[in-house]
Amino acid sequence: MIWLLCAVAAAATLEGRVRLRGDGEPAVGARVVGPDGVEVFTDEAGRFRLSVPEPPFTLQASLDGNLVSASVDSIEPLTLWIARGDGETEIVVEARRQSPHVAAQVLDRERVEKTPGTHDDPIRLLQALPGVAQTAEYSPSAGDLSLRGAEPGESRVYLDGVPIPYLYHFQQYASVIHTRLLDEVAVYPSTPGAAYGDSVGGVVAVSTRAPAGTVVHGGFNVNSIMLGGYVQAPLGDQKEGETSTHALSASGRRSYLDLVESSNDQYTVWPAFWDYLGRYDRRPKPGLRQSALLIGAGDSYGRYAGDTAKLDPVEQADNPDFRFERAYHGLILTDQRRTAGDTVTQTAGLVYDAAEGTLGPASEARHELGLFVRSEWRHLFNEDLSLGVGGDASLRQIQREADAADRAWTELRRESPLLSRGLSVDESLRPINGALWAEPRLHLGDLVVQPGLRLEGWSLPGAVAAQPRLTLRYELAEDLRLRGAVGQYAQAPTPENLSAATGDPDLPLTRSQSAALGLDAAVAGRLEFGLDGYARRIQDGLDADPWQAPAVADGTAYGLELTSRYRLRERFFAYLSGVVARSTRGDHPGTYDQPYAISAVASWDINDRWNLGARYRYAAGQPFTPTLDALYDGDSDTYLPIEGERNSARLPDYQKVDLHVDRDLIFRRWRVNLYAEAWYVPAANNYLYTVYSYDYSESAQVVGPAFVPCSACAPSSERGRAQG
Amino acid sequence: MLLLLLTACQEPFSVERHDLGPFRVAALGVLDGKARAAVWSGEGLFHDEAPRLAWSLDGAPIGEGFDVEVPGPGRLGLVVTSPSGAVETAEVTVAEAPAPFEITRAAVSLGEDLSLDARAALEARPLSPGEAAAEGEAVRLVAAAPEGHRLRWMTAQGLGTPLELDDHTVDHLGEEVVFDDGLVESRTALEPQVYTLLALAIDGAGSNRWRWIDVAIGTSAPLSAVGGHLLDLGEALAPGLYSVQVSEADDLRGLRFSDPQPVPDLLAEMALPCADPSTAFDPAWLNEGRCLRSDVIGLRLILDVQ
Repeated sequence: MIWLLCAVAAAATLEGRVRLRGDGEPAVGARVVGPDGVEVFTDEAGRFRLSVPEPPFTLQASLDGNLVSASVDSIEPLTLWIARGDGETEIVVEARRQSPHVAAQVLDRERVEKTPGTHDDPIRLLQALPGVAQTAEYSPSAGDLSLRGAEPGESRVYLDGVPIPYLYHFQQYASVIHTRLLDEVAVYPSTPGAAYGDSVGGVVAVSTRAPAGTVVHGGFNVNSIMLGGYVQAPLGDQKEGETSTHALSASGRRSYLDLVESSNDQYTVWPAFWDYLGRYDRRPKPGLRQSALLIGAGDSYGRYAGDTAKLDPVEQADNPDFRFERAYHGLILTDQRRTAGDTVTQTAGLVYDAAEGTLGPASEARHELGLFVRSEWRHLFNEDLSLGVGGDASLRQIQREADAADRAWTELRRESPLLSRGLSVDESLRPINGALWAEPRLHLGDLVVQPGLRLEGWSLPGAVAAQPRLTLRYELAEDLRLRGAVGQYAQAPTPENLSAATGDPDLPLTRSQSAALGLDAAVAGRLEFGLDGYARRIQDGLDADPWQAPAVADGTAYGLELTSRYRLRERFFAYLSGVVARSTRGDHPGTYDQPYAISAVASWDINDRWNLGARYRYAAGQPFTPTLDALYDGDSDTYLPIEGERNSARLPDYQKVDLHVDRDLIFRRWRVNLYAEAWYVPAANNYLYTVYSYDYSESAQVVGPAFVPCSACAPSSERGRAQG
Repeated sequence: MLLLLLTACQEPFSVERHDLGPFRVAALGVLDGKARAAVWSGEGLFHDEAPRLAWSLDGAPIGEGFDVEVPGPGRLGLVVTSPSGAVETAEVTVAEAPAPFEITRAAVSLGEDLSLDARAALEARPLSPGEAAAEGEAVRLVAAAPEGHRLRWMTAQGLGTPLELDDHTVDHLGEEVVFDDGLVESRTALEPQVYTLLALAIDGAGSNRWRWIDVAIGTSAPLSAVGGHLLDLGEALAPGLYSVQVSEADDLRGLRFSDPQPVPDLLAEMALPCADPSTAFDPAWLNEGRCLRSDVIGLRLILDVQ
């Protein structure tokens, strides 16, 4: 179902402020010039509003002989900083974005490029956000995203508007998107707007970058785990210095350690991963942008199913070899048309996701082909009123096959839920979802009100839900903003959980009521504070592990988040966040209940070549369900665990230090970025999971590596600090 | 768990499946319609106080102690309480035990390579009943268990190192062998002694049978084979029935058998409440807790020497 709405051509309106360096006072009467030569002057608050064409373009502001330029990639409010008085000319590229949604957090370019511990991978920064649960590196839960206490599966990940199966290779080892093709990562830890649905948790919206530039450029990077490269190229004829109407970007990455090591006593096939991304953009005329995105990612490995340390020599020789392979490929088409007061965006995506696991005579496979369509129309009635309406729909074909060969393979819990339960199944599932939504935005002086309504329906389980939402933003004073949001959310159980063969067809919709309130403050553009509180109530949320039969329970989540950021002369950047929060499901803690967490980052550009950075994180350990006793099973001469209350135990607190140093080598036509990172996690804070003796009478914590270095080399022909 | 490039580590546990160490239920099954269990005391091849056995069938109590009748099919449950109050729970599917199986002993000289292929290629020298393997040799036990049954081997107090060779065969070494990631990290020879193993045959569906079997490595004293056990009765004895004096000992077996006197039949057997009067005394009754040490100390028992 594709909703076609009309569009008329015209320019957009860019809003912003110009402020004075040093004290942050508004730059009154500064002259702001757009790319078409249109100019305006700032008012007493330093604000301006300017008609501009489709980005990208360069904006200039001048005052008292001082000049500042800014590259604008999208129509979002921005701030330009200009020196006062003495006629110095500075070139500053800086924009602080304001998301249209309350409680949205954007990983802006500054945080992406200046936060240590990412190993060239900005999406790993997600765990640096206060609303995201911090998990131990390489732990079984490292790749899970939990937003404000939501259970796994209750949050959604979108790539250019289309949901993708997963964001990380293996356990958060690397994300599936190359750094240089990443534009923005926006996180809605709770209370997303009406455009997002089928989720009672949060939303991670990843946007790829449109190919830009006037010349072909690219680079490659190699670190201790993977290598990759990217290229961006304008296509067709364009005049020198002008942006082409057609452009192409592509990237590819692959791990390479499987080429060095084929197997060991744990892996029969060394883990390997790969990903690729290609994007074609065309802008045939002002106001029209079309793109086609091709993405794919894959992970594979082979491992011994049984714990070799617990097997006798004959069992070790017969230890079955579990081979796992998962890959997805997606095609995403986007058409965006801007007019004087209208923006129409239509997106269609086709995603194929296949996962297979084989273990001797047993096997499990899941193949899904999904069609996703999304249409969004935003109309600007006047400066104070705009309306967004839209719809989205998905049609999925899921084929599941499993043959457990008359055994419950409990060793494969996280990888093959059906085999771990000893189930055999052969079924097709065809869920269809659809939604309509509307979200006007009203500017009432310093107050912005954005009510919304989402009407959503699911063929499985055959339900419809009306989900009202409301966001508010109020400028209390200069650089002091109050944000609030409240809403009703609904999510259908997964088709697998509704399957009569493996789940419960009577599972109800999961519903939640969420609210968030936040306060943002800034001082002289150098120091920013944010204080957010949130609360969520959940009805009929999933309360079982994937290897168990589904069960539901009510739950709650609430917390308080404090963030602050400080900049000094564009050389030094520091970030601090702290969270106190709780989440429950039924009568026990939620899977990612994290009562406290802090994160601190400092980054220093020593000069134009060198950067030093450090990051420290401390967080409460993750809850887990302990094994309290065991039952001897005479049939198999093994012990079966008797578990305690769900999530009644907790791993020790986690803390980690990341150190980063990088150096730019600049040559005439290209540059090389060399970086080295290392992390340190004290053993007492690095427990990944619990293992037990054969009879469960003894237990021990598996400890992760204390010290892990990573270094990389990244040549590129692109200007600016090249990283990854 | 998938641990990519991880140097994760954990300390080894003090308990291991092959070791009869702390108090545990070592085997469970149904024999001749009666519930049976091999309860390891944790002290040695004896019990000084009787464990309490409470049996159930599909959750409904059916009796306590040894020789409880199993009224029908289902899931047989057992709760064993040790004299110290430790509790073990166990279950097994009701299925009649297979026929008794013999275990043969042979001596084999293992080299540095303890891999399956290396050991399978070695020739083994059959041992006569009561014969010990030489110091430095291992004893290869082959169980004539029914098809479809696999043997599980456990060694009393974890002494020595049993290394399975196939579903019915094990090589028991008079050494403590430490493995690290499948490779031999160290080998420490033990003093000459008799090792006691429990051989459990399972088919995965509850049809279980077990027996105790001793192996002697490096010992010089003459040993007498009694129902799989190798006992030092003081002298080399011809096969037959013997009356022996039982006294307390401070070793793994906890008892000493001495002064063997040949007897023509079982009529000289002293009636023991814990024993089956129709057969010669089986030391396994002491191993499993059916008889206590105090039941036999000071008495003369009849042993059937093979």
